[in-house]
Amino acid sequence: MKISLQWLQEFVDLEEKPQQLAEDLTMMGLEVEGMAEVDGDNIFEIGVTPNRPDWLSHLGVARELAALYGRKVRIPETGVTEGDLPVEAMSSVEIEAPDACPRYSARVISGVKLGKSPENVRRRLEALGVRSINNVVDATNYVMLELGQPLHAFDYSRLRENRIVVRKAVEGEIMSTLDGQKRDLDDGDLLICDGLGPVAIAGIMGGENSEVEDDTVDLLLESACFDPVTIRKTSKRLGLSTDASFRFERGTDPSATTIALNRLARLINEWAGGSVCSGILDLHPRVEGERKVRFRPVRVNSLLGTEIPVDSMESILAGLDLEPRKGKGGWWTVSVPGYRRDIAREEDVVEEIARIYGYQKVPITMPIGRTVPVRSPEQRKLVHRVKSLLEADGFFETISFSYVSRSELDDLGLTGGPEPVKLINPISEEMSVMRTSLLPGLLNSARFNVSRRVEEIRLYEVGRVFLPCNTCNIAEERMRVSAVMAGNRCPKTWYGEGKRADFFDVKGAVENLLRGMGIEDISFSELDMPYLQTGQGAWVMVGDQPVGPVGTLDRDTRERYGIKGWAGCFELDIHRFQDEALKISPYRPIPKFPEVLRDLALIVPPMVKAGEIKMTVMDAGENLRAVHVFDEYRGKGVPAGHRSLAFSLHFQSPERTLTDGEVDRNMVGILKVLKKKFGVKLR
Amino acid sequence: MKAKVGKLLEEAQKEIASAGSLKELDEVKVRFLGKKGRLTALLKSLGELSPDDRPAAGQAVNNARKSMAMSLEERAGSISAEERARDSEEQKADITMPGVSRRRGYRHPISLVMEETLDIFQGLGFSIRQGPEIEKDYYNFEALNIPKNHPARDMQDTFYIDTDTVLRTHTSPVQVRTMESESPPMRIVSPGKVYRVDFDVTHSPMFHQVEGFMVDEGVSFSDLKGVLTQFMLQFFGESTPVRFRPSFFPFTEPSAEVDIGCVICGGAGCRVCSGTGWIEILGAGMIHPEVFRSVDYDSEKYSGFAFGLGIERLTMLRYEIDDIRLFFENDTRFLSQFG
Repeated sequence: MKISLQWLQEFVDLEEKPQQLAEDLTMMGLEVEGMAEVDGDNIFEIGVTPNRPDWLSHLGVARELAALYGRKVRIPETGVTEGDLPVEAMSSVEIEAPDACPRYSARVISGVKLGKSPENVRRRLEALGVRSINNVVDATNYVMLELGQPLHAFDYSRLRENRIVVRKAVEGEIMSTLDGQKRDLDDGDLLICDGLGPVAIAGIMGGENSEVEDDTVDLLLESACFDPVTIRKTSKRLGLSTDASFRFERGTDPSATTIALNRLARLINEWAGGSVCSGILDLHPRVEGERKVRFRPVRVNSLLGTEIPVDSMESILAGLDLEPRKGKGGWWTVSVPGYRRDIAREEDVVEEIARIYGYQKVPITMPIGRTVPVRSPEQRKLVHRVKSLLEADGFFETISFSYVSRSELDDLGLTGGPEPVKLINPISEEMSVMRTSLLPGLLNSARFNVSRRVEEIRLYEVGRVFLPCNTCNIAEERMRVSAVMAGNRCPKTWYGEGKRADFFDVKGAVENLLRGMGIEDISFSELDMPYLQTGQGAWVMVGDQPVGPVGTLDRDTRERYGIKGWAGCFELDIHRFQDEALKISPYRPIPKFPEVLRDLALIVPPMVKAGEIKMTVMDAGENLRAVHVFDEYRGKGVPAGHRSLAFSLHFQSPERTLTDGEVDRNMVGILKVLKKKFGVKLR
Repeated sequence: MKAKVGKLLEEAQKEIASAGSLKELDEVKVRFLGKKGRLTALLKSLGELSPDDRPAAGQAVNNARKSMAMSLEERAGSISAEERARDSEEQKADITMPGVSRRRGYRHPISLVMEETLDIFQGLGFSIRQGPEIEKDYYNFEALNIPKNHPARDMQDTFYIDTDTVLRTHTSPVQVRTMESESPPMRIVSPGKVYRVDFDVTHSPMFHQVEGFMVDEGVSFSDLKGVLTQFMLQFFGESTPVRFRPSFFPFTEPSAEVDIGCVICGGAGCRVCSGTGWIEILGAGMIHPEVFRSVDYDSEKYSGFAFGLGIERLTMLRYEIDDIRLFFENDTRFLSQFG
């Protein structure tokens, strides 16, 4: 909202410099967001909070400054010179929907001459961003900016039967508004009608059929109060917000309709001539009683942590026209003027006192209170560790939007089960369903980096996915950690050649991560996934629980995201391993007896897996602490389709030194089992 | 005998002096002092001498042994020194060549600032709670005194999933959820993602907030000022000016906006602070009695404060980032500048 300093000065004496006024307004809750000098005037751009519709006018802002500085407010002239013709002879008002229209006040002026407004009025309106139209429309805007009451002028002669009916719309009713739009109405909308049909959508916009035009001579002026919720619903539904609806939906002062109406009649009379009919058509079906709010000065100080004397509170409240009166038992009462829609309870009075007293003067204390144990979700510690491990492994943390494109999920083959959660009003189709995987976000980040010639891609994200389900509330939110990698295993340096990464790099990253979390029982089982290359996908298993897929991205997916060469990914469900992770276990004593090392090089037939051999060796071995694969070879000396695998076997007893003899016997036994089970040969 | 010893010693000294490596030197040692060495042989032949001559001859052999041992040691020392010098010369590195290490990854700046924020509040006795991102309208709005069709809903443009379900527009629902399931005293911070329909240089449709609140008997607005001032000073530095000014939130009364002196211009006025010298950091206030009512707390007995701060905003100020979209593009050239 734009406020003119010169206009404010018509209502209250202000000698303060504009800069000072801006500072003071801001510190009392009326934030000055910008200032400009226009034609020797100062225009403040103020941010009005929704609770203070009274600030949407110059008088309202002037009242605040008067309260702050302890000055008097001058109310603008509202005296009207009336003609002899009584308004009742010209028109009538009927309110059929009193719940939505607590008050409707109207006057009639005949014989006006439309034309330009006075120069100073036009300049003032333009400076505040309001286009000058003619002396009648300008007057309605001028008084609204002055007093905050939205007003409307109808062409009297175009009102059929010359009367006003305020009623709810009938489903299917249609009317054309001033902006030339046809509006479909429903039974929640409040209408201003003439004797035959709608002439305005109440509190939002007038109709084309009753618009004031150059040849208009007689006017019916409306100054009404409408129910805020009714206005807001219609405004939202039609997507039509106007200066009037903005004010009505925040609440206007029902006691002020006639004051604004008189001010309007006076100005039109002054600027456009004519004769004002005597009297006002003023229907007031729902009169608001006097609003009183009780408060306790003791409570004010205890909530604020201050020691403001009672007489200071009294003078602050009196300055705000709240008329404080002392009651019994430490209670006081204030009377709330009609324009203060926001004051309804003790805490609101506390805020008024604090605002004028000054938030800056409230002391700064640390809460004493009882001791509360500081607790954090276990998962936070876990996530922290996950991030540290991945970063040490060269991964960059990314954050992507939680909504993705439906077609991207389809392309990755991630749909097919229950429908992902959809937004009713997404920003775009690309951001329309809640992600069921972190991969689309990571892949888009990978594409972004590839297109900017970043060659080493190691990206991860920790975040929630939203899994649709029938048993839970809309979706189950699960924390996942996912990563995408592409490019080289290690970069080409002066020290050595860059090596292309492959499946075992992404698998290694998973192993590193899980081992770093203290998880030892890790295995991998084969997995087919639409977005993984056949034969290079696996379930990551912790114990017998699958925690998520790992593998090489298939060619289509890589091409869709502009990745050349190999790329891999994993996606692990943190809930599935969090109990295993970070478990504190007692330490294992360091072995006292030496280790005996043996190598085993085998010719392995097709289809036999290293993992199976390892498991069999572990089962067959005695005092066998660990088995590692240390070489794989295909080619000369090895039959086609076969491969040579070399294992190192680490024998160690916690109780004694093993002899070469018993280890050798053990090796013979192991080999025998392997030959029988897998048909392997010693190389 | 004495002459024999003298000659042997002389011979040994010569060989020691000409030994070029530790290995050669060792061979010299063995030749003279070993079990079958020449000096050892002389010592064995002492028995053939007359008892009168024996002590003198023994003395001479012993002296020769000591002398040889000393020469061997000296020579060993100088050979090592020569070898070290030769090695150093041969292995001299160009120490300006790049070091060799595995490239590390980086933490996202939003995470860094989020963690620091939570650490500060944990130090002030606050515990962490989390809540769902897909939230009931009731928790996001109604229980926080924002009824349907209230203009305050305009302050937060909302993504809807159905008429009753939204993407949370703030982390404040966790306040209600926590108060429903626990009882005072409580000091809680709640971090997480929030969503609003807004997308430009300074607004992202998804961003991160930390909601905080404290409820107990006798909690006052001055305590709110204390806790938030502590946070500001710890986060932005001890000399940062902090100010509190009135504002409006439906779920707090009185409500406050908290500003700090502009970190860019130091208060002189610049583009970042729109010339005011102040930057808005967070919203706060005393928890509204209507909120207490929705969780069945007695607002006569308990009072509390709440605040909400935007992590993107803190991060942008800290690193002077002027486009919020950079956070979600995940350009590694951007990400590698932090942490």
